[in-house]
Amino acid sequence: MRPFNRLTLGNKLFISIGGVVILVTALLLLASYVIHDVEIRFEIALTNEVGPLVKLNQLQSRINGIRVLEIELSKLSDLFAIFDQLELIKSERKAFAQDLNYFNTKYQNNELIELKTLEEHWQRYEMNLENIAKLANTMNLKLVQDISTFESAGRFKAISRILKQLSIDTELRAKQRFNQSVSRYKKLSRLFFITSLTGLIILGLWTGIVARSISMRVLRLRNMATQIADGSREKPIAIPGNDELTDLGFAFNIMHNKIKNREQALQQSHDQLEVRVVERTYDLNEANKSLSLEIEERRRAEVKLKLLSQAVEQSPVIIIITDIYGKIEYVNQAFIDCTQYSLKDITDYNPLFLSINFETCIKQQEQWNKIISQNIQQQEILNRRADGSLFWVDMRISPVLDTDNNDVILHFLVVMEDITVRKYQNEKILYQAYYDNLTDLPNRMMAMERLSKSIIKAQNSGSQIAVIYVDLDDFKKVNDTLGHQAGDDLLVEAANRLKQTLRKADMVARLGGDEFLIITGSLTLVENAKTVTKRVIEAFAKPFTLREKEIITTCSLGLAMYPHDGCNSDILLRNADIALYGAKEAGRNT
Amino acid sequence: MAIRPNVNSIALFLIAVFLHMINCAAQAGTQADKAIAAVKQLISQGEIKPGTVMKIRVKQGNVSSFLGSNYVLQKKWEEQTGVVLDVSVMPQLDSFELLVNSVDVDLTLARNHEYPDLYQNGLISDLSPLMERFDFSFEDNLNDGFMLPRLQAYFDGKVVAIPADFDTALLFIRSDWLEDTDNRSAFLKRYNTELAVPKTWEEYQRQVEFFHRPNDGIYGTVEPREKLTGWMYWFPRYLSAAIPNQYLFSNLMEPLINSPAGVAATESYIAVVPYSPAEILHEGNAYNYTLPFWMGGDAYSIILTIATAKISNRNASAIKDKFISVPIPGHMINDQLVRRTHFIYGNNLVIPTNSTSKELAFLFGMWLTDQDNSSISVTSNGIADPYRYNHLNDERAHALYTADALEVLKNELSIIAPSGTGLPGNKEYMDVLSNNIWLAASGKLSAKEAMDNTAKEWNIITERYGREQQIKYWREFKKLFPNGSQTQ
Repeated sequence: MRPFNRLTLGNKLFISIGGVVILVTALLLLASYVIHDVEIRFEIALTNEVGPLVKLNQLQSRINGIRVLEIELSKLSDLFAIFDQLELIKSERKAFAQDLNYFNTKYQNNELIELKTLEEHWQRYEMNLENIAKLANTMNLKLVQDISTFESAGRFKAISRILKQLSIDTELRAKQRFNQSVSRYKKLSRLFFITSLTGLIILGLWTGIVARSISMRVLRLRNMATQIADGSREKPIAIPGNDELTDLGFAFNIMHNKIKNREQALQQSHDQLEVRVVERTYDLNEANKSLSLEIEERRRAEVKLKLLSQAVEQSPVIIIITDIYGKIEYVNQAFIDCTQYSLKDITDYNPLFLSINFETCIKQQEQWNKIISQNIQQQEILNRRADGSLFWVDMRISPVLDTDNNDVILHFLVVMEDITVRKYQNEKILYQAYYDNLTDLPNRMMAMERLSKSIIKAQNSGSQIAVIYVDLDDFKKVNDTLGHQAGDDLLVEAANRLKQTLRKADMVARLGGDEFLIITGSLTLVENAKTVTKRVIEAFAKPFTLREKEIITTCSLGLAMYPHDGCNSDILLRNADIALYGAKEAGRNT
Repeated sequence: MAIRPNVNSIALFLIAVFLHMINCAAQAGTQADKAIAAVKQLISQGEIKPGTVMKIRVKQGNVSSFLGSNYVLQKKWEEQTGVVLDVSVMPQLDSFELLVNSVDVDLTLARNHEYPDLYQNGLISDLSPLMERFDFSFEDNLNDGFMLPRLQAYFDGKVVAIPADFDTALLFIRSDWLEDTDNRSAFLKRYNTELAVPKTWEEYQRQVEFFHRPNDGIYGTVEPREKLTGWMYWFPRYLSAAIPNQYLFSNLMEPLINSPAGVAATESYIAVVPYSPAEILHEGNAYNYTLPFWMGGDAYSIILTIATAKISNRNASAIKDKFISVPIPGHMINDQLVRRTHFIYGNNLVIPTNSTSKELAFLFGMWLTDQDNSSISVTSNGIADPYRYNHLNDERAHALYTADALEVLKNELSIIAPSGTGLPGNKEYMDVLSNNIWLAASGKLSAKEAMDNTAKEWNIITERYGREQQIKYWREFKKLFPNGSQTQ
């Protein structure tokens, strides 16, 4: 425990703050005393002198007012106005008497003689006013005027004179009091100034001494600490005095010794660490070389991967990558351009969702499973775009295997090639091979295939087939007279009439020129065939309208029945042709 | 049966009272606020120049009615508007001469019967355009409206004055004498009827006669009878002589005053002269002469305005607490009592046509006659008497005039006729009438001769002003008279 008499920095600070507090308190008390003293003195001056002055002024105003009302009274001619005037005088008299009484009570010590005189004059003036009121009540205004002129005037003047004298005396006294107060105020202000200045000087000196003492020793301590830090000082620090700064000097010395010992230990550790750092640096260099090679390999792989990725993305064929269950995970730009679907629209579907054959998700998944299980790698399917239009693709599916284990399928790669154009071209060629361009009726080739198939079917069922040759009569004349275009129009119209006469299962084909062949199967009687021939002849009974001209064209028919007229197509056709020839010979339209 | 308090009824009552209080608060000062706002707007628009002084000419004893006790109204107006009031005084007489000669007055006073002559001679302004421009009207609601504004403010359908006073003829009698048992027994013995408040002019005349003791310096009545203002005391007797009213003229402006009713009214008028002070007929001896008798306790009755109650109620008055105001007497017509009174004095605000600040004068008039300001005005010891309904309920007015007198005034409102003839030339008509009834009262003419002379001279006046024009004005004026249902 430190001895109490030791003058520490804390004690010095405490003494300084205490000194400031005491000084400020003393100055405040002194200032308060000065202000209070001045206030009291001014209040006394106001109460004793200015107050009476104000009251005297009020009394003067009131007596003047009473006098004006009194003079006016005799000039009035209306009794109601006179009564009102008397009320006003009465009220002013009452107020003056009250003010005078108050003045007497409060300030009687000041001007006793004058006040007594004032009282006497006021009583006499009041008697005049009483008389005036009585006379005015009876409209005796002449006497009112006489009293105002000859009696009350002197009393009013006396009151007014005394009030004026009192005012002058009071004002004089007020000035004296005021000057006394000012003098006292100046004296106290001087005392306050001297006290304040002395206090401030003492406080300033004390603060300077304390500050200088602290500042000098702190500076010395800093210099010595700097020397210790740069190692230029070996001797202990010596700080004069007996306070916290001296203690700080001793603490520095102890710290200095400890730092020196620790520096030596640190140097040894540093040397050992240097050796270990050399060894570790070599190991790290080796590891760096290995890492650089691996990074280079990875970079090449990334370049390759990027190339492949771009190739897939920019491929003109549609590429789809699915998971192992067929759910689409990736589509390239060609897919989006072709189908008008974006990836986010189709992520829950498999590639067959476009197919018009598998409208529901269940059917799509079943078909996908079938393709995968049966290892169907290629298939042509008809798809529907987002806008509803159709397109054919050649779809190829191949598994994407794990590079480390070829038994594991990671994805499926689906490649689709748009074959719509090729597909339609094939169908057109096929159509041109089997159909007549002008009438859209099957041509001879298709008629022959149909006849062969019908014969096989009739053989199995035991039914009959009718083969009917149809030839337009005088067709050549139409061509010659109306032109080939009219002839073509006639053929088209004739083909239409023939189609309308037949059942759906029957066939009419154009064999060439104006020759048509009707094949109608599944007949049980010959009469059925004759009925057909009859309907055909009837169909040609109506005139044809060609180039706005109506012409009558008949036809000749040749009928051959299977099996009665032949067992193969050639025989049947020949017999039908013979029958046609016979019909022509017989006069046509038969 | 026990009465159970109904909580809902009490709550509804309290709400009604609360709403009424809010309504009253919202309406308070509305007229004054509107006037002040209009003045400020005129100042901001430059229509009122900075430093404008408003010149007011008031009558003797009326300064405090305009400026308030201790100038409280003047201070208030000048603080709110910055416009200085310059007040001068004129005698308590008709305003015609003043207005003819005035060159520098913005606002002054005129009596009701003066309106036709003042307006016809172009001396006072038509205030209707100002009423419309500043959106004012003379409300006559029973809460705080003006009392009988149609009779107070209009001539020929135009607003020519702002009501600022209300001087109708009221009857005052000595209540202490009336209640005195000796008097009552003596009266009963002498007239074989009870001494009570007189209901008819006959009863009144009998009481005047009864109380008249000239040897003791006591007079039956001190109704003025001098030449200038005698007509004011003749009218109540005349107007109540027929149901609904005994009119002055026929619809063709033929005088009706020389009819038996007119002669009877004149006879009633002069019948009380013997019970009045000796010099009652001397020129100039109007109420200035008679009132001191009344105030000194030397007369049984007087007919004058409500201001009589005010001065009689003062502490210095010899008859304080010894008088009452009672309903004006009437005539029994077909077993029905018909009573009528009318405006006799009254000092309402008019704006001279040569005023240079008409708008300002009008707005000051509306500000002064606002509900609150007018209450200050009529209770400030001036000669303006209550003219709005709220004055009748004002505690300060009760203290000055007595609540009983104000209640009588309120009850008399339904029988008040308009003042004078309501015709251009009113002063001439009234001067002729006053002169002739004065001659009759002096014994120089009989009542019949006085009325015949008056009728003859009235015809001359009518012809001079133009009969057709006078007929038009008269027919309009007749509409202002109380109707049959108001007879009592």
